[in-house]
Amino acid sequence: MTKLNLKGTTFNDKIIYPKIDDIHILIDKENTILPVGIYNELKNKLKENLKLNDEIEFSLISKDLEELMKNDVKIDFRDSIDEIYKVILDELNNKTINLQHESLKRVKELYDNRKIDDAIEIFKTIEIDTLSKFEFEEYKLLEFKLFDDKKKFFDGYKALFERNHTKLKELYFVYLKYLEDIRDDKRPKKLIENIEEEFFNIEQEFNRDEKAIFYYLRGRNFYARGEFLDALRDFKKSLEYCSNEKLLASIYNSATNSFTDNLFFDEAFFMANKAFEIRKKLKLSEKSDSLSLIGGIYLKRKNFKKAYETFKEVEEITDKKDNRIYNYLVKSTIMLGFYNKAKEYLNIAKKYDDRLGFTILAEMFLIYKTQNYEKLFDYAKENFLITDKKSSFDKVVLGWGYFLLAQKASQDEKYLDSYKFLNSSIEYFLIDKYILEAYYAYLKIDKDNEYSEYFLNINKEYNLKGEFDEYIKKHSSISIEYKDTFGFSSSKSNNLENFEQNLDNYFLI
Amino acid sequence: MKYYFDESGNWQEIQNENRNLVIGGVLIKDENHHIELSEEFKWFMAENRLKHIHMNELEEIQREELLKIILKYLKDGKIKSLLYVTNPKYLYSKTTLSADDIYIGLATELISNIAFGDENIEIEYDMKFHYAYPVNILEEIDVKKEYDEFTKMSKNFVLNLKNIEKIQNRIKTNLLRGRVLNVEQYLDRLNDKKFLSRYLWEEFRLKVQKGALLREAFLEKSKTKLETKYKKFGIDKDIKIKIDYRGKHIQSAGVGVIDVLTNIVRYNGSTPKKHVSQTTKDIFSYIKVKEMKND
Repeated sequence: MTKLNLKGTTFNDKIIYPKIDDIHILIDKENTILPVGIYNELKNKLKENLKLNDEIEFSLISKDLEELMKNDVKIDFRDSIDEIYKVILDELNNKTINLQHESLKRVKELYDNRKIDDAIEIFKTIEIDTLSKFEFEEYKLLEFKLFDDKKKFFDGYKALFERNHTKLKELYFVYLKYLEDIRDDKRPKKLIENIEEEFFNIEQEFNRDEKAIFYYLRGRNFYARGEFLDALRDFKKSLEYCSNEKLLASIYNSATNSFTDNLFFDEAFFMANKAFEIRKKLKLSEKSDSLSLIGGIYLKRKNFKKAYETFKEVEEITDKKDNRIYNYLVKSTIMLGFYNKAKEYLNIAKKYDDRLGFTILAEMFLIYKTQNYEKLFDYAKENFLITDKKSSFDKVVLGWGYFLLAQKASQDEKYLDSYKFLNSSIEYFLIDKYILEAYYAYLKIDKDNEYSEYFLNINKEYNLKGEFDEYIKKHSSISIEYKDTFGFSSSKSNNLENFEQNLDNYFLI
Repeated sequence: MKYYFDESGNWQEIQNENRNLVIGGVLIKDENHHIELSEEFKWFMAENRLKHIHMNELEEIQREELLKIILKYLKDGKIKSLLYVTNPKYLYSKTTLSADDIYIGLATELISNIAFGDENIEIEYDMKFHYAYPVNILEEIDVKKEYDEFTKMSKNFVLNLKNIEKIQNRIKTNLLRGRVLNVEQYLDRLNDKKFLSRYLWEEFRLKVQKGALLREAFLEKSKTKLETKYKKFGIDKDIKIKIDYRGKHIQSAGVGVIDVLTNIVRYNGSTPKKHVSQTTKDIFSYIKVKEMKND
């Protein structure tokens, strides 16, 4: 009986690497499992390599393999053809690799069973001098597999952890920051959870500087998923350990949006300004990010002139080569009614990568303001509604994009379209917990039409009012709660209590 | 990845079912595809002035329209579906297990097939665990219970005499079909209002309490089955399963699709009948239907 490592694709199209350990080769039996092409290839190879006069018939028997195939797993026999050939050869020669070294044998078994930690534990005890030449080759191979197996990130880290704890921490931060920069919204969270569970006790093992960075990065990850309260809690912790001004500015900068998004504009302005001042003093290029935040606050406050002026200033000082600042300039010029100027900025923005879709949203906004539903829909069909493109778009882009379509359709009395797009808008907003935006979209859309029953049902279906009330309850006190941490004077209220009555005060569309 | 499951046929009373029993799952890999599909379903419902999508309640032309939407997603590979179909007589003759146990066995097998290879498994299931079978109710009816919310509520319960005949008939049918020993003695007691009240309360209690337990057992069994498979094949995965039980009244598009597919498989079996529409035939070439008869 021999083991076989295979590659397969499951019903849900996941790639798996099952290990089959009940493989038997029967000679002179009819093949039932292997695809004809693979089988013939193996037969020819055997004939050629073993210098046989006749072709050899054989059958590969395995209940486990049959079970896998019955479970709708498509085995990639092509990928494993060399391994299958080796198995057949071993069986034919009745020869299996025979390791004499007990520890090495055990390590191999543990590795085959994916018990990496246990394997490493024993592996470390093996003395190289005790190995034969053949065993040494096996030893080196196993070392490579145990420590440099990059197929699975965590295995790689586990191995590294055993060897170099400090290096692991260093890499951990680099990796986390990298994932954050590419805005992979799934991995960092998982990585943080796993690192805490499996490797580090943050409070005990991290020094003050490391804690400051860890909580800062984790706070940013929470923010990216719309978990403002968790984000602020971590930023506060990071501040407690922070001992350098550069990080201090980053914390203030990152915490700003938790206040802007909850419409505490005075607090947000204080935070962004503080970050800007520190960065200016330290002559850091990131000061343009902080200034951009200030522009964003003006935009949300509907002081469009000031927003435009601030963004122009950012354009002058920034050394970043991306579309972000031009998207803002498009938005503020649209709001000022300078549509031609907006087009100019749009053309510049389009020169940069737009994986997250913000420039497409800006263009949709311009079309929304200047043209009819048909034009907006045609544009969306080409640029926004295509699934492949959409999959990399930020959820807030998708939420607002669909809302623009819903609003415009409604203005054109295409109520079914409006209803359909509104649903998608709300779904995308809710995925990233943009509760205010979701409820706003629902309240803002015209529901007084022949499909009013369906429009009104959206509130119930998504429990929008309930989500909104809970959100207000949780977030209305953040100004008071964090005034001492960040040092601003609390405005106590963000007027969200009157949200339903004063809708036009909140968002641009 | 997200998976949506549904069933079709009277799984609760297999012995009284003559047509195919079906259980099926749909997977939608990309959440954008699910939102697109939701859009199309919402449009379809609003356009046809429907509150829910129940295959059985649709007119022929509406069914065809709905099937075309689903076919489009199947063709584009945006959704995939695996269904089990079985003859109830076959199932019932082969086992001494309760209907719930048979159901759980097959449903967890289906989950472990469709979700195999995945580790973050999110399931929406329109499932109806029953448990409140006559035999179970009668076993509980005379057992003294702790004074809990159910007992408290039952004290204030007044039997609506207007409906009494209807209730008696329903219970009578259930008793006769429910493999109850000495059924005559219980049939006699159906005229006793106190017995009737007790019966209804025990039925309600079992539905609520045992339903919750069955759901837990179901989740546990699904997880164990997958873990066993992974272990067997040396696949290192830390499985997380989340099951959200949904009724059709809060139907997601995924559950809507599988409701339709289980219905057409219930009617057709594992291959389409000759006289069905081309759309239905096309759907069969994109879904996988397994007939459960040889295990």
